[in-house]
Amino acid sequence: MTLSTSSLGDTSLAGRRVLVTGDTALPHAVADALEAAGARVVRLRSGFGSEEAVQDAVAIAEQDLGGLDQVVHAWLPANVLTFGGFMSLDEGAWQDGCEAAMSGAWWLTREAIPPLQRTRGALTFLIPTVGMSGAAGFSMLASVAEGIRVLAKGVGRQLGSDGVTFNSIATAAHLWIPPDDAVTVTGATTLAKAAFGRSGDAAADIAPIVALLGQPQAHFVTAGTVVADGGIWMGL
Amino acid sequence: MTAATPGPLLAGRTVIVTGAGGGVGEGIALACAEHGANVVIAARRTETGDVVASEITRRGGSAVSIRCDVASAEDVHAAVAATVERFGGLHCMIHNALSPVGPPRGIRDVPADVWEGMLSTAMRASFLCAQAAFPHLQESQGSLILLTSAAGVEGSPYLPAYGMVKAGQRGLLKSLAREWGPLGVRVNGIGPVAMTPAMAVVAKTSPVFTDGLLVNRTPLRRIGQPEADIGPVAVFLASDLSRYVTGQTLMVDGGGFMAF
Repeated sequence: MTLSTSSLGDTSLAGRRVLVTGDTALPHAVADALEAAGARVVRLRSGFGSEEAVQDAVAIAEQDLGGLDQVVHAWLPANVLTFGGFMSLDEGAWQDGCEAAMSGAWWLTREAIPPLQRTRGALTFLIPTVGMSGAAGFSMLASVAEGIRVLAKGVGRQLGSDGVTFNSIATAAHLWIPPDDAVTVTGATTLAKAAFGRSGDAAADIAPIVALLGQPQAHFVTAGTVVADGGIWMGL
Repeated sequence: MTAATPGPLLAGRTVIVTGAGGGVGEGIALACAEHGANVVIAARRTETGDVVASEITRRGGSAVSIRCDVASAEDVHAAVAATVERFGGLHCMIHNALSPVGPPRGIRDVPADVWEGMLSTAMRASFLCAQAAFPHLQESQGSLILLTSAAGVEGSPYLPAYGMVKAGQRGLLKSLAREWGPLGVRVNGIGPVAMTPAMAVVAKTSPVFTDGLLVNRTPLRRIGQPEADIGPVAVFLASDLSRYVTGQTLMVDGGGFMAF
């Protein structure tokens, strides 16, 4: 498989209007792939300090694009993605990391709902599987990831009748944290290699699923978690 | 080491229960005391905590009430320090306290103060309780227990903020179980369904109750009782009976939620 932004193949996203949040390699690669397939994309790299800021950013994105068909949320504070023993964290780090990330997702979800109700669109969360497995040294990341995943389940049920879908894509850890840390985290949760022999490429493996969940063809999929890690995490 | 034998499962041990001035926390405190533990009732309002501590004492148990706002680092660390000074150690920290969840609401109708309350009493307080307790739990080879919920697994269309933070606690407890397991400290969760004063408020308006949805999906066909149904599971997780159990969330809900 060619690991490039051409991984969406012949899929045309022409006319699709997408807001992608986050400033790490994963959301950038996804945004690039969606753009390459014809989607118009607004990137929100930061600005999650208050609900008002998020509200303004979403409103501007909707105005610039003439509507929002999909919002892809992958923003996380940098310190959440850094290895650190739990007892090495102080309260400020916890608030700036875990609590800021959870509030960011909470506010983004609230503010994305009205525009997505207007288009019967989709909100797609990108998270690592460590929320489901737990991860030593990444307690904030795991807490946030599981919180976001379950938020999608709750609001998915709440707003299904409005035609808005909410889903999560859980990827392998290496798309979020440094490779050596990802090897350690993954090694602690599995006895075998990835079923596919590799744990995934953002553009080639994740972007197509993001695109699918944003398409009308996926209108009957909500409150779900798509585990896209090459077959590493196989929890109950 | 041999397996634990029947008897007072927590004799000589000390347990802190946050939010123990009523509801599930009270039930857990009473059950732990019944099994021989010294119980510290950590409650934001001493007038409720004092009542529970008095009840334990009246029954012949050992308990003290300490005022503690779980969102305050100073309060949490002070409560742990006072516990260790009074009883000589700490074997189990049980974080149960939570700010009021309020009535069922759509996500856009959740007031900012409800969200902030959920975040501070579930997430920040879990962080504070875990950090304050850890050195003592390592010394005693004890355990941390977080009260979470089935809503933290399946999500809640009625209480979305509650579901989100309860899930966050599950992510945390699994991570701490992995991090602290090699050090001899276990970390688990309990997902209870019990009729408490707080739940009684929700029950007045939530379709889960008004439409009979919860009871009808519960194989045991009743809502649990804090002391009789939830407390014993906390005793189990605090005792050596569960010495090989960590990173788990036990749903104590009459079978209402069967995730696996």
